[in-house]
Amino acid sequence: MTGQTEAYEAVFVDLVQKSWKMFGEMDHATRVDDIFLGAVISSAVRLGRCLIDLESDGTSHFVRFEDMSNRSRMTFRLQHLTPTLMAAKAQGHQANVTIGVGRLVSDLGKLWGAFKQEFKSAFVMQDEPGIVTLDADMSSGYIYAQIPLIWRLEEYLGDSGWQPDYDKIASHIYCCEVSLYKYLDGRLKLA
Amino acid sequence: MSLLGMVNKFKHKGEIRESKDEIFIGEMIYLLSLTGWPCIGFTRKIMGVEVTATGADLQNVRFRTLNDPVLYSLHVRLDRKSGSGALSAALVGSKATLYITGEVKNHLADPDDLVNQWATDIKNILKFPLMGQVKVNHELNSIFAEKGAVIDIDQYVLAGEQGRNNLNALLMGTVNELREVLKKYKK
Repeated sequence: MTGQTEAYEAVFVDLVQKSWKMFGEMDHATRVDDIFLGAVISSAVRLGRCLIDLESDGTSHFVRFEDMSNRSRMTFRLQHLTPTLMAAKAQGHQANVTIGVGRLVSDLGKLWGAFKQEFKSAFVMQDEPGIVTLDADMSSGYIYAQIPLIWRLEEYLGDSGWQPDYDKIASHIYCCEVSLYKYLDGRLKLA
Repeated sequence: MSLLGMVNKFKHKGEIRESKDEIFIGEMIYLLSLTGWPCIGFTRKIMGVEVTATGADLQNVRFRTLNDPVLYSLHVRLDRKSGSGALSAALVGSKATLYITGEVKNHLADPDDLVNQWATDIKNILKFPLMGQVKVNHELNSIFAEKGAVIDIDQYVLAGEQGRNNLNALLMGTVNELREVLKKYKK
């Protein structure tokens, strides 16, 4: 092999390696929501909950958990708002997150009351964060209170973007749950 | 107990029975997070293309095997065959096929290495392993090793600490086996 060919190959190898590096950055940008969702699942299971529902179409995700000891449920909906590297570099990895809590109710009146409330909720501007709405699952007897929020996902994934802070995720979800249960229980007493 | 309460209790039992594959996946994501391997997607890779292939009884989850000396990623496919209904659960239990695939990724740039890889690609194309054996496959810069098994989900979920230990042993045992097969391909 001549010296000139070696020099050409060195440039070729460098171009390929740089491409892999850039591809890795782009690949990570599209996976941030999946990494985060996996961390939510892991955090919930660590607290003794069971994952009972998992739906994902690649960008929109929904998971539901149940605490088998008291049958209470927690739902988590995630939609990545900046799924490309360019959008993420400009705005950070933002996502619509909707956290919900559910209680099993055996009183038909309460269920129906929540169902009516859910009907009214359909007319509320859903794209605004921080609005608590009620939802009733008549078939299984659960009433849910849920709140949409906007989270910056990179705050939870460590410096490398690959190492989720499970404690922080669990703690932030728990804080939302406490407030939602307070609201839900208050509404159920009034119903 | 009210009538609605009884209906709810019956319905709840059914929901949990139907959700055993999701519970299994949740436990697996938790156990692999303890190893430092984050979940990176709920998709399946076919011929280099990722497709969303998760349905009511089919789960696909991918993990990045950070800091592993050989593996780059892990893919798990759980296909539930029975136990969603009360009758099949009582008769045959919650049977499923579990496929675990390990991936070695070689970021090859040297033209000589690329030529050598094609030779091993062709050797593996016509191999069709039986259930329980490891199948090796090459796709461009990735080499995959896959092992399938028929499992009883009830041995691993809603079975307390023993169930979690069983699942951990199944996962780690399979991962070690795949790593052993793949280590000779790691450049």
